[in-house]
Amino acid sequence: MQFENLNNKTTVLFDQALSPTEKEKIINEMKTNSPGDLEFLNQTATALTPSTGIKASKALKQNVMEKIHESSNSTFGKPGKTITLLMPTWKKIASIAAILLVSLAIVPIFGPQLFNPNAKAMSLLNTSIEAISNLKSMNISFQVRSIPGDNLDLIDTKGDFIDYKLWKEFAPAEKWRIEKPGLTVVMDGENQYKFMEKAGIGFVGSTKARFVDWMKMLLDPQKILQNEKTFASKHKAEYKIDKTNTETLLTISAKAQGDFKNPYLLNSSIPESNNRRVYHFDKTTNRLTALEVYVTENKTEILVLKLKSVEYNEVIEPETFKITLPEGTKWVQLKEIEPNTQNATAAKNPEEAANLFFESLAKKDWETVYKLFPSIEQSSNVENIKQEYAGLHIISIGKPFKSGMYAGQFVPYEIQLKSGETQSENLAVRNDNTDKIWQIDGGF
Amino acid sequence: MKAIETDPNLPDIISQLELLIDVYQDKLVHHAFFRLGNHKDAEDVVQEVFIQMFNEQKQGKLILYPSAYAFRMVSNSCIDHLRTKTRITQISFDDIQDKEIGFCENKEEEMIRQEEFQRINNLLGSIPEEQAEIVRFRFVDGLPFQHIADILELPLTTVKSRFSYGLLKIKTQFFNQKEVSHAV
Repeated sequence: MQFENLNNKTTVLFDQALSPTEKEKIINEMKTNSPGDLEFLNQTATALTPSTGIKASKALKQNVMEKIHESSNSTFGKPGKTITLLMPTWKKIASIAAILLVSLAIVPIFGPQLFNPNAKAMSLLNTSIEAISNLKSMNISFQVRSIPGDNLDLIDTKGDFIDYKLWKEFAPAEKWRIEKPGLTVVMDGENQYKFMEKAGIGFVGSTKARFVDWMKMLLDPQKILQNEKTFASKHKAEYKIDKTNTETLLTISAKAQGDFKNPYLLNSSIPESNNRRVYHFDKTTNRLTALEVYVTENKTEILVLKLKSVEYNEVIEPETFKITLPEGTKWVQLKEIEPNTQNATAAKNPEEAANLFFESLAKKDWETVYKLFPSIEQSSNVENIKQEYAGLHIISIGKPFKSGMYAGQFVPYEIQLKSGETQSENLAVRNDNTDKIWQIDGGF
Repeated sequence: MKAIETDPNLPDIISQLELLIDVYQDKLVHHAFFRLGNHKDAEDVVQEVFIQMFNEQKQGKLILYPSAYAFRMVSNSCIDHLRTKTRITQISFDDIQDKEIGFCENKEEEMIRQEEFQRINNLLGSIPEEQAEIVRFRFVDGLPFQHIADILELPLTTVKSRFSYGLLKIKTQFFNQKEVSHAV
């Protein structure tokens, strides 16, 4: 008995999302290769499945409704008056309920939102979960005011719109790809890959690697409502649902998250901005059709993200979920560059880490440079970087500060390269690792 | 009169609850029965959950997925019910099976249900609770993995892996034991 094999098959065989053809294929394979496993699964499923459903007694509903009326009457006033007012509504509702029940019969469990003042609008959105759960693929084109080559989630309110593309395959294994000029992130079902063209480096992480943050929202359109609702209740954001003749609109108005005593990261991403997100769902199919995200800056709303098109169930070429690196660029496992005691330096705080980093560049102490910023060593541009930064002069290292949601700190610096060019930026430095080792994370 | 004016949503809340009961009461009682082994207790638990949901909703709580929420509450109430009962009366699982099942049309049906209850809980009792609850939702209640994830507020991948590990544990703890006893 190979546990690993049984593990995969158990989930797949009992996954209702899998097509009958695919299931049959697996069953046939098991009949040949592991009949014992198949028999065990059959026996277990039989043993755990009751032969008949248990039904509620007729008294249950009656008891609940009686208690509710008692509770409503005692809370809200004199019994006679409340009942008089409620009765006509109840009669009207009885006929509506009958109609709704017919539709519920074809909507699987959890479809309708039955229990909220916004129930009618909500139920449409919730049924989209079922609609989308049957989807095979999705292809979204959208535009974001951002900087080519920089992080996918980065927004630049003063920048131009640049094109983003997203592909997603829902089953059998989840696969997706998001790309913008100069940056591609792929999840092939086993790993995540991030290729940064300008930096000349490709990273490989687990399926849970955080190469994409907020934008992951678009990868799970069936969970938008749930995720946004969770977000709204957690962060006291406002959300509302409107209906037009053709669409259901979900609007979230959220405050910037993070620490903005220093506003460096304010409006650098959607969560780190005061924003309004408007999702459009088709009223007939309940599928996501459009999205606009506006950021409020200086009391003006700026459109920073807009969907151009959404296509469902188009065939996606398998090559889409692969990245071919240019010659000279290599894949680097994230764990290879994770901080550890082997690559620790003497730096005890962000300022010391920044100082040590620039001093090492100036002195061509590449070993220390690589310890502080390991991905430099892996970059196909490493020789150019060495050439450009060796012999630099430190003009100033400022006081570190925190901003936005970033786990580390920023150290302002000004340096002069041997070419005479000066550079001033904020070096991102962090030590949120097990050994609390300070490393450079960006801003260079 | 005044009261209705201060809560204009009350009629809607009541009608939505009524609809929720119509659609889900059987499924919830079914779930509770196979946790408790007693129809009357199962109905009491479900009834209390509906009333609690109504009160929460009346107080303005937003319940996004009422059916998932109801399942979660019923499941938790069953656990509390079993704990309380055990603590107060020291009733074991074996004792519970001897209790009245109730509401069954005839004795034979009652016996079948009781056997099924015992068999299911014997199997699931041999594995960790966090795995058992997922296996239970999948087989006993027939819910898809995504819906189980919604009920337990867990990632889908976690639900699937706990399900797999649960079955593996059943195999190693129960079926292997059976093979050994057969061999003996």
